[in-house]
This record gives sequence, structure tokens and C-alpha cells, in this order.
Amino acid sequence: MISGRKLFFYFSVFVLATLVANGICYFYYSPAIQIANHEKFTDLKNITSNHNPHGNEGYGNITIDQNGFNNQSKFSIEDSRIVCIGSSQTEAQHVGSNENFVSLINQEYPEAKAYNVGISASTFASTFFRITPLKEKFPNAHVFIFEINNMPSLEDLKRMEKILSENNVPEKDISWKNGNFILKAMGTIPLCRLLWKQYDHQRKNADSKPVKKECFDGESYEYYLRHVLSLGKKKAGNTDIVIFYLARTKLDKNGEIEISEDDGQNAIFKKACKDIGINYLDMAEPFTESYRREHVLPYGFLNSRIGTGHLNIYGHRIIADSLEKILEDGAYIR
Amino acid sequence: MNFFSINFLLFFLVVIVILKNTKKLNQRNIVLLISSYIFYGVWDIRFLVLLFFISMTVYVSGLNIKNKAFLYTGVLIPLVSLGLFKYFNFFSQSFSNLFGISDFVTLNVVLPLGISFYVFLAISYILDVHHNKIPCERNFVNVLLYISFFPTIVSGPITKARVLLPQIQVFNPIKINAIYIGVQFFMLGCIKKFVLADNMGVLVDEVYSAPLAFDSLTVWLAVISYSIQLYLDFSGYSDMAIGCAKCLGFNLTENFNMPYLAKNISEFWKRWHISLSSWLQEYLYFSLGGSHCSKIKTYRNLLVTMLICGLWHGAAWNFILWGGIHGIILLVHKCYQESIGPRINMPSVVKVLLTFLAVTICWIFFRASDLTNITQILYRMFIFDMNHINHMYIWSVIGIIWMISISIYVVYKLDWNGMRPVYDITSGKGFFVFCLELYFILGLFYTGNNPFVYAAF
Repeated sequence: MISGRKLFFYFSVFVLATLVANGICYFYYSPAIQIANHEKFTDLKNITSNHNPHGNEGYGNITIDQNGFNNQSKFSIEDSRIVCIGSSQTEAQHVGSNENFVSLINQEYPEAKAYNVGISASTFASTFFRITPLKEKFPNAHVFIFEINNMPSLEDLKRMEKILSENNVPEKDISWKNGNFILKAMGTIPLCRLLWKQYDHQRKNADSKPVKKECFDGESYEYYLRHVLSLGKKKAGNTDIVIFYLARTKLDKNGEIEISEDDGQNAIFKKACKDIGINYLDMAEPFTESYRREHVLPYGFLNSRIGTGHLNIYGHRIIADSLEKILEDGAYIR
Repeated sequence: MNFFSINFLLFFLVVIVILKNTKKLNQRNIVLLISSYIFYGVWDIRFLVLLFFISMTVYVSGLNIKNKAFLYTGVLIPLVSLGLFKYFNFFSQSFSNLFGISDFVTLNVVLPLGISFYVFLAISYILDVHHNKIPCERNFVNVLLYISFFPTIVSGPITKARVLLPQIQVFNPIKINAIYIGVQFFMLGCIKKFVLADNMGVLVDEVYSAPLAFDSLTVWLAVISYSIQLYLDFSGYSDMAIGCAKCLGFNLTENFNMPYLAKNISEFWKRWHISLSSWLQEYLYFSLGGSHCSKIKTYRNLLVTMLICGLWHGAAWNFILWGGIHGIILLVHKCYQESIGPRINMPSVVKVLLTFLAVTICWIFFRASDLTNITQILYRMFIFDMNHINHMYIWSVIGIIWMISISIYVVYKLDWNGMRPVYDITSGKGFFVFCLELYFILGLFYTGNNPFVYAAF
């Protein structure tokens, strides 16, 4: 039998090893910690910090500004003229703070005053109905740029329409904040966060079964989408809206780039945006073009699967170039 | 049941606790037999029927080994089962393609997991008894356990009957020190398989699925990565199996001895998948006459053995081609050794690198999906073209550095067991390293789906 003293000894060694592992993790994987955004113009925001390494997909170490977003801009948030709203692709924790497309636009056009409010796990379906709080937070914004990473479903559109019509924007809560100490550890301690992420990925991979494709109702989709976009446009008032769609790329066996097919939402979006007066940018062509010209893929890193996952520095560069063209055409930047 | 799962951890803990409390040989073997059948049956309960049938056949044949009919039955029934489940559809399709028959017969059966491994175990038992290397086993449970022993059933090592059966016949109580060592072997296997091999596999899969998209340097990196991935994957599994068996009080045959340090192809086969190559050497190559016959016959025996070795790995032409190419390289090496070899003084490093290069190029035939895929990869490797995607994947670089470091360590220490450093887990330092190793595995293991490569065989 192990004596109590010996047990205490092993426990101490275990704690020491955990502290060392946590210290290593602090430099490898300690992404920005999310908290609720009471102003509701985004799903959530981050805790201010200038040390947020993200090492398992690329390696970025971003700075979260005092407002809780990945920005290095010197101007006041209220003075922003361009606001970029989106998911982790826009937030860009996987590349350096000055390598994401919002920073690149600011570097090219300092007068653009572009501000990044991208937040991990946000979607178009969870951000587009936040136009009223966005208008309140960014009164001087000339344009809101929304990212679509995943196309919203018909159910999403119905929900968005309801929120926009009722003007009742919900506040998203963050699970770890109000949970017990285990949840809090999972949400804040680097080692626990890494282990949880590993477990979660593994679980999702094990559970992933082929999704039974439901019949896509294009007519209803278009109907609700037009409603949602019109309501959004109306609420945005004199602030213009740009939507860009992050097409997913893949390589065929002959080495040619292919764009992953959707059910037709992209085409419906394109048409609806054109009719309503919203700029719609489909990134499929710029991505394809740059692959053919430079043999670079917009997604993936040297430590992850190429062509999938998050945007790399080439992806951000291509988006910045494409958006700059639209912003120049719309005279938002000169 | 996957080795790297909470289910297996719980299962193994229960088995250890029960075994710790067993005092008799029969009890221990029954517990191990039930555990092995549960372990194997979790994948598919139907697989147990074939496993039991083959075990029973070899048991009965073993008892009547003096009778030739029983000897043939004991060898042929496992082989026919393997042929039906693994090769029938392949040969039926190939035959039909050859003669342009469109309406060919196929069997709608699932390939039982690890069938190639336990069929070889079964044959090993019969032939060892036949050659009087071991007495026939009268205890049915022991034979059932020998063939179904759960650490080895899915991917080996193919431990010969004369090595494993005597251990089954003797009661070895569970020892805490053996568990400490076994756990460390298991964890080293986890690092090799789940952290290094699986992460390296990402680039390999990408490049092999679209070789023309990548530049020559990336294709070379992927091809070299595959050599190392395969070694880490399979030797990692073997370490886990050997570690599990050690915890249970069994010593299994070693499966690898730094194969990429081999100075020629013949030495490579003495270091790679040792349990399979020694099985093939003993039960096939020697049965055909080995090298104790004319030169031509020796070459024939070598070629036949390697073709069967290729076919054992999978029912596809690329495996046969891979085995054939290895056979030819072995022949060329034999001729070289018998003629100019002794007069040429080549530095050992050059010999090791040349052997590694030859083996690595052969792995292309092993990994590629079809002949077009093989051609595309070879084309991109040897027609140098940098005008495509360059992807210097970090895990591949880490894997290569790991391999080189271990090789240098082994060469300087002259002890390949240095690959499995064992420390005193009860000391503070040892327990500290153990905890860090555990965090390392849990924090960096590949979370995608990447099964054991050899489990498919």
C-alpha cells in the first residue's frame, strides 16, 4: 500500500508537471478568451490581452485591443469608417495581427479606418441581424462588411427575419463564465483549453456521420433571404453593406483547384444582393485565379492540412486586394 | 476496440484488476480468453465465429498431427478462409478483367479484422507441432488464447507458437514493475503512432491524392514522410502491443530493429516487421528449399516469398508489384554480394542512405492507389518542377528530425533498445517525466480519423 506521505509526494510532482505543461501551453495554445458583449453588436468579444498564441493551426499571436477585438488601429472605435464583421476567419487568430485582411486594408489605405469585429464561432446567421447595435456603436461607419463562411440555412433566415422585424437583438451568453470551476478552467487555463479542444475535435470526428441531405427549397430560401437582406439594408440606412463569401476550395486528382459546390445558395445570394443594392463578393474567382497564377491556396498552414481550415496569409492578402477594389469603386477609400 | 480510447483504458484496467486477483493458471487463461474475445468481438461479433472455427480446426489438427490429412486440414482451412475473405474477390475480378468476362462472381463479405495475422499464428502452431518444435497443446483454452490474444490479434506481432504458447502454459502473476515498464512502452507507442505518424499522414494523404498539384520538393518530402510514417505507425502499434502484453506478464517478439539503419536490402528485411519476415523465412522460404539448392532455385524461392509477402499485405496489384520489386532488389543484391560486392568498399552512411532510398521508392508502390498514381508521383519526383504548391509541412520535418536523432543515438550507443528508454516511474523524476509525456500525447495527438495502417492487412 502507498503511504499518505508518498501519495502527497506523487500529487505534488503531478501538480508541478501540470504547471510546467501549462507554462509550455501558454506559448503554444492560449487563444483569446471570449466574454459576453453587452452592447450586442457582435456575438461575443474577447478579454483584452497582447498575448494570445494559436499554435496548432499556423502560428499567430494577436493583440486584443481595449474593446475586445483583434485590432492594432490607433483611431478611436467610434471613428471607424469600415467595419468588418465575421467569424474566426475575419478575427484571424491564426496569422499575425498585421497580416489579416483588415490590417492589410489599413496599411494600404490608412484613411480607410477599417475596424475588425470578427469573433470566433460567429456566423453570418448570428451577426447580420445586429445591424442596429452596430449602427449605434459605429455611427461614422460608411460601410459594414459581412463575411459568410457557412451559408445560412432556411431556418437561420427565418430566425434572422424574426429578430430583424421585431428589433429584439439577443445577447449571447458565454458558457464558461457562469459555469462551475471545471467549466471556468476549460475556458481560461491554457492546458485545460488545449485538452478540451483535442477531446472535442476527437469526439466530433468520431460522431461525424454522413449528413442526410435534405431537399433544398430554393424558392423559400430566396423569399426569406430577400426579406432579411432588405430589412438589413433598411436598418443600415446610409451605411452601405458589402457581403463577401468565402468559397471553399479543394484540389482534384490532377492538381486543379475546384470550388466546393453548395445547393445554390451562392447564386441566390448573388442575385438577391444585386437586386437589393448590396455589394456581394464571391471569393471563388479570386481564389482560383491566385492559385493558377501563384500556386497558393487561401486556406491551411504549414502545420495543418493545406487547402482547408482557416485563412492563411495568402488568403488574407487575396481578400484584402478584392475588398480594396470594391471599396475603391464605391469611393469609400481613395 | 481501439488502443487509444477510454473504452480500452477501462477494459484494460478491469482485466488487470481481475488478473491481479487470480491465483491459478486456468483462471488466468480463461480471463484472458474472455477478454480477448470481448476485445475482438466489439468490432463485429460475427468475426468471432471465424476466429473460433480456425482455432478449433488447428486444435483438432494439432491433436492428430501424425495423420497427414489432419496436418493438411490444419494448414489449408486457415489458408482457405484467408483466401475466401481476403483474396477471392480480387482474383475473381482480375481473372474476369483478363478474359473480358463482365459477369464475374464476387462474395459479399466483410474482411475480418486482423485475419492475416491470426491465420499466420494458426499455421505457425500447426507447423511447430508438426516439426516437433513444441508438443501439441491438449488444453483447448490455451490454443484459443494463443490465436486470439488481444494485444496481438489486430496487427501482431506474429508471435510464433513456440514463443507464446510456453508463456501461456506457465502462471506468471501480474507484477507491478512489469506494469511500470509496459505502460512506458505503451506511451512511447502512442507518441509514435498518434502524435507523430498520424500528424505526418496529413501531408502524405494530400500529396498522394493529388500529386500533380505539388512541386517536386513537396512530393519528395511526402514520399520520405510516408516511409517514416509507416515505420512510426506500425512500430508504435507494436510498442503498444508489447507494452500491453508486458503488463499482463507476457513477452512478445520484437517487430522492428531500426530498419532504416540497414546497410542493404537483405538486412532491411531482418529489421523490418521481423515477426512476419521470420515467419515467411521459416515456414515458406525454407519449405521451398531456401538457399540450400541451385542458384536459380534460390532466386525463385526468394522471388516467390517476396511476392507472397506483397500479397499478404493486401489484395491488390500494387502490393504484389511492391513485393516483386523487393524480390528483384534482393536478387540483385545477392548477385552483387556474390560478385563484386566484397571488393567495393563503400562508407556505411552511403550504404544506409542508398538502402533507405530504395526502400522509400518501393513504398510508393505500396501506398499509391493505382498505377496512374504511381506514375504521377515518380514523374513529379524525378522531373524536377518547382512551379506548383510548395508545402514544407512541419510535422514531416519533425518526424524526419525525430528519426535522424534516434538513429544517431542508436548508432553511437550501439543499443537499439535505447529507442525505448525506460525510467523508474516510482521516483519523483520518473513520475514527472511520465506526467509530461502524458500531457504531450493528449495535447498533440492527431484528432482526425487515421486508423492503424497495418490493421487493414
